[in-house]
Amino acid sequence: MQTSIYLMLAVGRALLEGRIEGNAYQLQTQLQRGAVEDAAEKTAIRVSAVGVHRPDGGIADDVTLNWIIGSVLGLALARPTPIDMPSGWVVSNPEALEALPADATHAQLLDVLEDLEREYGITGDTPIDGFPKLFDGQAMSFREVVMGGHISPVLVDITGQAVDDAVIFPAQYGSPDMRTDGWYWSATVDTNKVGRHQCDLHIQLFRPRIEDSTIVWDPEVHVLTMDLVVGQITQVNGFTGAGIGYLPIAEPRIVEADHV
Amino acid sequence: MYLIPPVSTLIINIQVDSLAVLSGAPAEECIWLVDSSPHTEGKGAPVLRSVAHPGQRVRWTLTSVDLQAPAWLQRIRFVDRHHEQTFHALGEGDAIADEPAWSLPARAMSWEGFVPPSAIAGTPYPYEIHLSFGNEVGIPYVLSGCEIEVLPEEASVMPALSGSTWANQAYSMSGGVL
Repeated sequence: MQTSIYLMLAVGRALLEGRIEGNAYQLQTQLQRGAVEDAAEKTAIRVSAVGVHRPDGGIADDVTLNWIIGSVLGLALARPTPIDMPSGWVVSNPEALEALPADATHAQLLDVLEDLEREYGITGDTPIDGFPKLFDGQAMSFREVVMGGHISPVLVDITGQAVDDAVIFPAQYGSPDMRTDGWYWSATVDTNKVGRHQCDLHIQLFRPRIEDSTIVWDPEVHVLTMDLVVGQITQVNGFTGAGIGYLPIAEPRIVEADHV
Repeated sequence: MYLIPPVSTLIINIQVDSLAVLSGAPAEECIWLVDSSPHTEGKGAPVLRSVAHPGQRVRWTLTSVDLQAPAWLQRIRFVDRHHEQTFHALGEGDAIADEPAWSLPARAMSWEGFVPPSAIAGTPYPYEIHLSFGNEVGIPYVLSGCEIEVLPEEASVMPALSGSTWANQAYSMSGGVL
């Protein structure tokens, strides 16, 4: 059984605060009923892996975890291309945008922004009314709109007690999804090790800074501790609700000959 | 005492493309059935006519083609009469009266049993397959049109085993139910 763990990171907030705890949210595809006692606590980074065992103790179904890292930002849809800029910005100066080639670099975009800044008499760091707001409630500046597009965070390693104790066996695989740098992490779970375990996710964030009118993305590795709850249920036969028996094939029945 | 012939378990494997089902694809494009019997017709199609031996153990298994889009085998339901192959989400009007008394997570459910001695050779026993998709067991999709046909006793291929070995094996295979 494959369980996908979607980790959504508030990257902007994490970079502001310099920590990833409290800025990560998770979804998972296999929240088994009754498996996680406090599944309602959505913000806790907790994953459940429920092993299915046969009545004789054998493993009926093993569990694989897949991590998918996404990011949420106040400006979730903004990417470093003019096409995806916030609509308010686009409306404010469509001619300037149309003049930009579709594959405009950050430097070109910054040039245009600086022209606009001069035209409107504002500096790049001046918050603009009507622009999307940052997490601290301040409107974004032109520069921040540009930097709103960001490089997706990347999971670079999985370590911790759960790995040391051989509860999970993580490995990195190639993936066609270039948003994740062409890699993703997966782990098989030893579902015999019932209980609560912890593992550390090493997540690389990229902090933008402006250097010579170009945005430079400095990598930073943050560690996020995740709870892993391994549960266990015993497989039962759907036909009987318990063990094996005869198939519930209909008894031979006498067809009423009312059509004769 | 009814002895269970020492033949291997008949595995009926249902392969389903969850995403195609939920996108409304017809059964032919999203569900494929195969089994381990050499006599079966309709392998690789959503209409499988499995051939089983009297007393043979039959087990249904489900494989989700897209690993990250899980599917559950919610129910195997034997029905009175054969229906043409249909595949659709169970509507409110289709509420089934004979719901089983137990309610368990679909994931921990296996569907298997022995072909009973009362099964009549040559008679097809039609059944429905109820599949559900996603995190929780939701509204099932119901596939009709599959059936099991029981071979006559004399057609069964019985390995030449001594009576005592046969009985021992029957006991171990039955799990003590007999």
